[in-house]
Amino acid sequence: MNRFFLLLGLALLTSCLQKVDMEVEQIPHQLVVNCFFTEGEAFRVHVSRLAAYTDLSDRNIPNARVTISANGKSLGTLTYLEKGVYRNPAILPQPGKLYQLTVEVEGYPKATAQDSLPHPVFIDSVTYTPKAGKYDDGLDYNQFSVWFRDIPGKTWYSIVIIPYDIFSSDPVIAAEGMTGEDFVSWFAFSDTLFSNQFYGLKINVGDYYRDVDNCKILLTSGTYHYYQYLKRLLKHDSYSWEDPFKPYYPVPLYSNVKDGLGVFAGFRCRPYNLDISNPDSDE
Amino acid sequence: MNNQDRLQIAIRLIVNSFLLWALTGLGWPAQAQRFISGYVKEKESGEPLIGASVFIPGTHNGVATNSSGFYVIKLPDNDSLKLIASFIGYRSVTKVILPGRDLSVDFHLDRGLELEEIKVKAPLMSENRFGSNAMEIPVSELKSLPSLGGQTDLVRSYQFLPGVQGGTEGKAGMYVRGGSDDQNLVLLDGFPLYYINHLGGFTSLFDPEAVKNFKLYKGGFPARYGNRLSSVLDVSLKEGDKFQRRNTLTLGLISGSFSSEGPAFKEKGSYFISLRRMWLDFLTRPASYLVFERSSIGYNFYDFNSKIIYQPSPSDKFFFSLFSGDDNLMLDYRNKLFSPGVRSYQRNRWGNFLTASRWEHTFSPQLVLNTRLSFTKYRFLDKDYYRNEPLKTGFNNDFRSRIRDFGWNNDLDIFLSNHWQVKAGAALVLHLFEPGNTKIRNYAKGEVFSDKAFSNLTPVWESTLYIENPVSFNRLNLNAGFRLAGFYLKNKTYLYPETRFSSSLELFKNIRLKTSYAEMHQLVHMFENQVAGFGTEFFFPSTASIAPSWSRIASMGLEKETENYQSGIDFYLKKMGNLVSMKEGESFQGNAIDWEGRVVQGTGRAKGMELFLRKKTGDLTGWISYSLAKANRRFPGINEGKPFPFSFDRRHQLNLVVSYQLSEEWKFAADWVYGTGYPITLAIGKQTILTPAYYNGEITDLYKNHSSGEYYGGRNGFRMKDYHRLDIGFTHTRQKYGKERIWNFSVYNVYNRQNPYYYFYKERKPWQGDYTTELYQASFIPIFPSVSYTLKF
Repeated sequence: MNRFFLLLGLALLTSCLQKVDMEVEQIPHQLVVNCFFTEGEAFRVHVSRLAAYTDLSDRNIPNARVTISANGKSLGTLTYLEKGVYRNPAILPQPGKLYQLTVEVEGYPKATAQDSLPHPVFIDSVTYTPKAGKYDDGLDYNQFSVWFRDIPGKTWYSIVIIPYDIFSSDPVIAAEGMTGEDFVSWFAFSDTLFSNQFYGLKINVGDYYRDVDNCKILLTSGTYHYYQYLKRLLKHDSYSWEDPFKPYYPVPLYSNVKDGLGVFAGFRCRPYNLDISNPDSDE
Repeated sequence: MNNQDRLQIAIRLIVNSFLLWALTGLGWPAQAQRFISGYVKEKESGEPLIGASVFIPGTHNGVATNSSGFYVIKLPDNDSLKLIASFIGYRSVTKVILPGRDLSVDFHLDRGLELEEIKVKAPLMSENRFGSNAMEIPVSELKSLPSLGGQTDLVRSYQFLPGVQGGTEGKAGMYVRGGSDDQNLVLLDGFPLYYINHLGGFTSLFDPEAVKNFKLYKGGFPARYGNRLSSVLDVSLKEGDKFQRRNTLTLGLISGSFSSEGPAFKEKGSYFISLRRMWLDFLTRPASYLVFERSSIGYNFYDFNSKIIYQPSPSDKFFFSLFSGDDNLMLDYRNKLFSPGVRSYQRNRWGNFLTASRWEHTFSPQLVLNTRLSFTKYRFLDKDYYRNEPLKTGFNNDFRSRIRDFGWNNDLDIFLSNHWQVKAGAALVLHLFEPGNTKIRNYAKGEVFSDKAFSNLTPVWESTLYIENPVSFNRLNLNAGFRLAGFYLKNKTYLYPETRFSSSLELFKNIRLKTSYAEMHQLVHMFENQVAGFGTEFFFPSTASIAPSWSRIASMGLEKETENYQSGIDFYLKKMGNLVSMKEGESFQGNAIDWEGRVVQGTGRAKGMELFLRKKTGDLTGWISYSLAKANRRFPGINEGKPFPFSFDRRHQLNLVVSYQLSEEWKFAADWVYGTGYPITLAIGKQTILTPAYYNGEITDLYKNHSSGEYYGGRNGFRMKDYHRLDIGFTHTRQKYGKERIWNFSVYNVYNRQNPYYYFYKERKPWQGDYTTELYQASFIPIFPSVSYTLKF
């Protein structure tokens, strides 16, 4: 239907565009703090400021005081590296601890967040099926079936298959509101449909990646904040650009940062290497 | 249903029973009386006149005709007296009633101005004296208003009334007092329709040639109406000329209509049929076929109305109705647009189908029964076909959404006295919902994929019991009603007692204080496939975990009505609950798995003030209205759980509608609308985000910071520019050789106001390194002249 409206809309709209000078709401004075953390890797926190849409200046903040605590006890501060990134190689996340992040910058409200590491997930096996099906336009696609056992309790995951853009009609992915026509870099999903079960997730890739012999499958377990952020990010599109068919409402980014924006969330991942020139010889 | 619910029902039943008993006990002085009853009809065609007054001159003692044009009035039997029947736009008729027994007296009114000065006092029992927020403008007056594309649209005309928002071009609908489009109960001859607007809301599906009455309730709903939260639009179709055959042909720029009416069954009945079709596809299909090399694009809609009336005896009347209206969108792509051997087409069809029958039986003038059987269907079909012969592949994708309703309604009109007329009824409706069924066939693989998780037929029974008690105490009119609405799902029963109350107290001469209160519940929810402007509606029922939505509407106002003028001020407060939305970031279409888990229910509030001044008679007619309103919504998890403005929240709206008879043949009409801009969600800031990055062996390198995130502030936190528009129209009517010819010339958006449709950002010259970001506005319909020609023969 959209193609018709595109033509109709173009005919009617091309002469109806005008630049407007309107007062857009003032943005709040807030910090944007981003950090995904995992075991064995030091916390790496990015600090920037929320900027007006038309503001083209650098948003990274170099003079923040970034502190990590665990179970209420301070573990130390992070040092500024470059481009808004802070890190302390001595502070490594460990399972079973609840970490608190505090970011202080003069003139901004103090931003805080907390999260922990989830239980790890392990891929049991991967089945690779070349030419598993055809696109609507007749081109072939290949399919990965990624088998793993769900972690007990409510759990959230993401999956990336490097170096592909992926799509899927798997019910688990469909239940997240994704269709078989959504080509993306990752999927985020919950275990609602396979709780405590052994499950084979079906992910498709185009058959046009001719030079790929090896791929890496990154099945990641994450906390609720990790899942929500990635899920929303998938649908967070460039809403504010010209598009007469844009949805009524954009999808705002998820945040678990108090008095600020951004995300502070834990995840765990063990890459799975697969030789697809010889699919039987997996790791 | 828990104990608290049962207790609430019991209390309300007791209160309403007491009220009924109390009213019954009041009584009126007993005296020898008799009943005069009959119909008030148009003299020329025999068409019944709804809401006409029948009264004793010089008094308020009188009644109004019902939806069949029927009246009954109780008079003393010892005097001869005059009885007058009057109706706006018609000459009153006076009849002398001699002493004696019960009589049947019909009135036949001629169109035109009063020949002599008759002081018409609104009868005590006319509906507009009972405090409901009902508005009715004669269809003949609406038909002279300027049109878009040569088609007068009744729904668009009602968007000029206070408290009614129309949306914007391309997103038009009917939003009453902060309610959404699906919260309007639209009744065609008493039968509900789900979908009333053609594509983009540019025109509604009511052919003005077929419509007799058009009444909108914004609050104070009588108990006979229910199952929607915000408004009732009660549309009555013509019955047809009882005496002679008449035809009407209308040709506009992009559409045309034909209607025919006349006597049937040897003058014991009549018929009316009308067909309207948009013929944009006749122009676009051949044009696009040439321009796009054998590909074609077309859009049309049609509405078909038919009605047959048969009255074998004075006490029995049968009505048979059929309505069908569809929008059709067709796209065909062939070889050259793609490559040789490739063909693709898309078909979309959506609309209503309604067939119904009604039996009106008059047991006695005091007791009239209406029994109705109906079948209503709403459907949406989306069919995509793709075939690639060289690759021997293709697919066929069908999406279907529909609702089928089977209804049985019974309504009793009980005339107790000139001051008390009870209405009671019961209804049973079976809804069969099939919100979405996707079937995809891949020819190459022989695969068939079906998504039926959301398509299973969901039967829901709906029952209704109601009673209305309109009573009049000279200065005070009351209508206390009670409605018991039941929704029966497979695993859940919802039972709701609803209180309805409206009153009108005459403070001074012709000045009345109106108050009303109504409780409403709605079984059906609607999601739009959230694509701006051309959203597709999907209706689905409440479930065990998604409760029916509800509203409570209270209003108070002052109204002054005379023969020539109507004016009023109203204040209202509306609360809504169990409203439905998708959770932040979730979508409805595409799949159905775990859909209930992706729905969230919330609340809404609306309040406002409305002013209205209307001149009803004379060469110059029209009205001016102003609304001050505020409406918001609140859903858990959306906008951080904080209230946000409703998408069609408009703080100020001013409407001016004028119609002026320039000469015997020429009539001028104009309308001007001004409204505060609607709220939208617009990015106001940018923020850094974490996105997956190319993996280089370090887990923490899975993600990198990127500057492309948008920050929106609150939902609907940005107001678009104010909306205003002027339309004008001239109508030329000439009678010649027994035929009537009408030319209508209209100009929509006379001063070419670029009203906002949506906003977007644009970088100035990125190819030259100039990334200065500026805000742009897109508008939809510029100045649009049109012409139509109507021939009545």
